[in-house]
Amino acid sequence: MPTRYPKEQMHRIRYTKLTPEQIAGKLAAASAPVSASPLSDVLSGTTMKLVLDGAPALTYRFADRNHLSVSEGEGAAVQAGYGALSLDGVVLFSHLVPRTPRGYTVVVERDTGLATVFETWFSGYEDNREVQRQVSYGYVERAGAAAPAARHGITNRIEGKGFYWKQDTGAETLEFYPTVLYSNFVELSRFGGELSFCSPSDYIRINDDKYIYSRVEAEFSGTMTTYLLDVNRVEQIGVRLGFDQADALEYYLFQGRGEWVGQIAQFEPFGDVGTKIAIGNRNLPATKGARPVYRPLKTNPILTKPQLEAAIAKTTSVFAPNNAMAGNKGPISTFLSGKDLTLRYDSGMAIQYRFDSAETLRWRRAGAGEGAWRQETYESWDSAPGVVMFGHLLSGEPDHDAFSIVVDFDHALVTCLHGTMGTPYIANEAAVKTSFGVVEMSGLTPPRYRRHQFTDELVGRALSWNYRPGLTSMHLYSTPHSLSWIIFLENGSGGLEWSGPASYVKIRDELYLAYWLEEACNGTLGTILINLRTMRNCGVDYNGGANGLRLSVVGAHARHAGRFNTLKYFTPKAAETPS
Amino acid sequence: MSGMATTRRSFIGVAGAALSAPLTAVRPATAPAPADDVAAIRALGQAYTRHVNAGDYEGAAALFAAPSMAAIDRGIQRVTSDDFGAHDIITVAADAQTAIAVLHCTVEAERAIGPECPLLDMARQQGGGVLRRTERGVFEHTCVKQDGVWKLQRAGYRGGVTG
Repeated sequence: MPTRYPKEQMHRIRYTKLTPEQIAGKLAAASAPVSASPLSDVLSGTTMKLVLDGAPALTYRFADRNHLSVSEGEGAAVQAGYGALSLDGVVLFSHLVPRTPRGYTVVVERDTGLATVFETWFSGYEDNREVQRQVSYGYVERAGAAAPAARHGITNRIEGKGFYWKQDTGAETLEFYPTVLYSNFVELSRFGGELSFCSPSDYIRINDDKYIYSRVEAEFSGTMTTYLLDVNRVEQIGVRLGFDQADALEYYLFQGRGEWVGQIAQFEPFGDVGTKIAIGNRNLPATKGARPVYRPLKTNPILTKPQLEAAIAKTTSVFAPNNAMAGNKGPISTFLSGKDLTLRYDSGMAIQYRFDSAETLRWRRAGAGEGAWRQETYESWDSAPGVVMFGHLLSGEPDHDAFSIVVDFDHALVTCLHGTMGTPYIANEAAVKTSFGVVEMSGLTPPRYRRHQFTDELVGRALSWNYRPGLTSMHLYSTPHSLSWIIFLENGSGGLEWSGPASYVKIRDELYLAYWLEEACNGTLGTILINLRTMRNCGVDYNGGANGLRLSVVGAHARHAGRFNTLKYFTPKAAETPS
Repeated sequence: MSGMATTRRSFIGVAGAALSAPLTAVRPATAPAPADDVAAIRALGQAYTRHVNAGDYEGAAALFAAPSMAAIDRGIQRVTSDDFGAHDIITVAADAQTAIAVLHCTVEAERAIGPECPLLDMARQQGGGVLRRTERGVFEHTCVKQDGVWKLQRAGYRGGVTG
C-alpha cells in the first residue's frame, strides 16, 4: 500500500467540538473495546477487589472474557463489557461505565497484586472530546494477606527512551519519551510520518523492565493511548480511547512489537529517579486529574489580518538589545561591513547588497526592474571561518518579509530562509521558503553546480540550548521535517514540550542551518545555525502578533543530549504489494 | 529566646521616618524592653516567615497594620532564621508603640527573567523562567502596636549580607 498522507496534518485539523450529549450517544453504542488480537481470558471467572490510595475501591467480577460487573466504592454493581490482554504476568483490562462518560483502564501485576488504575472521562475540559484521567495506585486485596507497602508510581527511569512500535492494527509509530510530563509521537502509518507531535503523558514504573505509558492528544483529537511496555522485549499491550477526526469512537485494545531506537540524555541530579515532578512554585488547579498541559493558542491568540497589520504598524522591533533568547549570543561580526555583493538564488531571486556598516545594509532586487535601494538594520555573526549568518527585514514588502541568510564565503554559497507573515490558516503565523544559491562578489568565483543541500544528518539528535542563566531548552530533531522543543523543569527533568515543522540544511561538516515553524502555536519562525564544533548557535527569530513584528537574535550554548537511530523509518520505500 | 539581643533606646535616627512617632515617655536607656513586647514581635516575625514560606501572601498581608497596603516581596520563596536568631535585634521604642526587628536569615529568592518571549512563557507554565539564588540577608521589620497588638508596618529585606 502506498503511504497515506493526510489532507491536513494533525495540528491543522479542525476537530469537531463534540457536545456531552453527542459523546454520550457515541459511548452508548460501544459495549466494550474491540481488539484485533484474541482477548485474554486470564480474568474469566475471577473476582478482584482493588484497594486504591485516595480513591474508592473497585470490586470486579469477571463473568467471562467479555463481561464484568464493577462496584465503585460502596456503589451497586454495574454490568459492562470489557477486554483484557496479558503481557508476561501483567494484565491490562479496560471498560466503560455504562450510561456515564467514564471508564477505567487497569494494569495489574498478577504476582505482586500491585495495580495502577486510570479512571478516564470525557466532557471534563472545555473541549469535551479530550479524555481526562486520574491515576490511582493500589493493590488487589487478598484474603488473609497484609496490604503490600509497595506501589507502582511515577518515574523518570524511562525518560529519554525511544521506540518504534507496530500494533496488531497495523498502526506504526515512533514514540519518544524525552520528558517526565510529555512525549513525542510520529504517526508513521496514520499520518505519513512527516511530523512529530507532543502530548501530555504519564510514565509509571512497574519494575525496571515494565512501565506504563499514557498520552492524551490534547489540543488535537483528545484521544488517549495507554499501554504497558516491556523495554527489554519491546512488546506492548494497550488501549486507545477517543474520537478520530471523523468523530468516530476509537475504543480498542492492541498489542504490538517494536524496536528500541535509542536513549537520549537525562539531566536530573544523580539519584533523582523521578518520584516527584518538580514544577517549582506553580500550583496546579485542585481539580481531579489536573496536570501541566501546554495549550499554546491560549497564550498566543490568533489574530485577524487587520489586527496583525494594526499591531505591526504600531510596533516593529528589529534586534532589540534586551532579549532573553540571546544571552549567549556571539559578538556581532564586522566581516560584511563595507562589502558589496549579490546573492543569486536558483529560484530566480537575486538580491544586491551594500553593507554600509556592521549593523546597516542596503538591498535591492538585482537585474531588470531593480528598484531603489532600501536600508535595513541587520546583525551578523561569524559561526565558522568564512561562514557568516545575517538577518534583516525587507521593509515595504507586503508580507513583512524577512531573510535569515547563511553565506559561506570560502565556497561562495548561500542559503536563504525567506520568512513571510501569514499562512492560509493563521494571519499571525510565519511561513518560510528555503532558497539555495551563490555569492557574486569581486574576487569570488561561485561554483556552477555545488549548492548547500537539505540533510537528514541531524535527525534523531537531541541538543540542549542554554540561552542565558535560567533559560535552557532542548531540541529534538525528531523527523526530517519536524523539530520539538522541550523546556527543563527546575531539577533538570524534561518538562513541557511542543513541536513544529522544520528543515535542516548542511552548510559544512558539523555546521547546519535549521528552521522550525511554531505553527498553531505562537507562529514564530526560528532559524539557527548550529555549529557542533563550537557547540553554539546563532540565529534569528521572526514573529508577528499582538505585540507587533519582531526580528530578534538567538544565541545559545549547546550540549549533546544523545540520539535516536530513526533514519531508516523515514526513508521513502516502494509501496508494499498486498499479498 | 536566650541569646537574643534586645535593646531599648531612643531610636529616632536609627529607624528613620517610618518610626518617627513622638516619644512621650522616655525611659532610661538601660531599661529592658518589656519581655512580652519582645516575644510578641519575635512571634510576629516568625508568623511572617511561615506565611512567606508557605506562599500564603494573604496570610502574610494580614500581619500588617494596613493589609491592603502590605508590600511583600514575592520573589522571596523561603526564609530560614540564621543561628537560631542569636544575632537578631529587637528594638522597642520608649513608648512601646513602635519597634524595629532586625532578623538575620538565609533567603531563597527568585527573579523573573525577561523580557517575555514564547519560550519564557512556556517555562513559566511549569514554574520556571526565573533565576534562583540563595543568600544571607536581614529582614528589617518595622513594627507598630495597633489596638494593643504588634503589627508589621513594613517588611524590608536587604540581601547579600555577609558575616
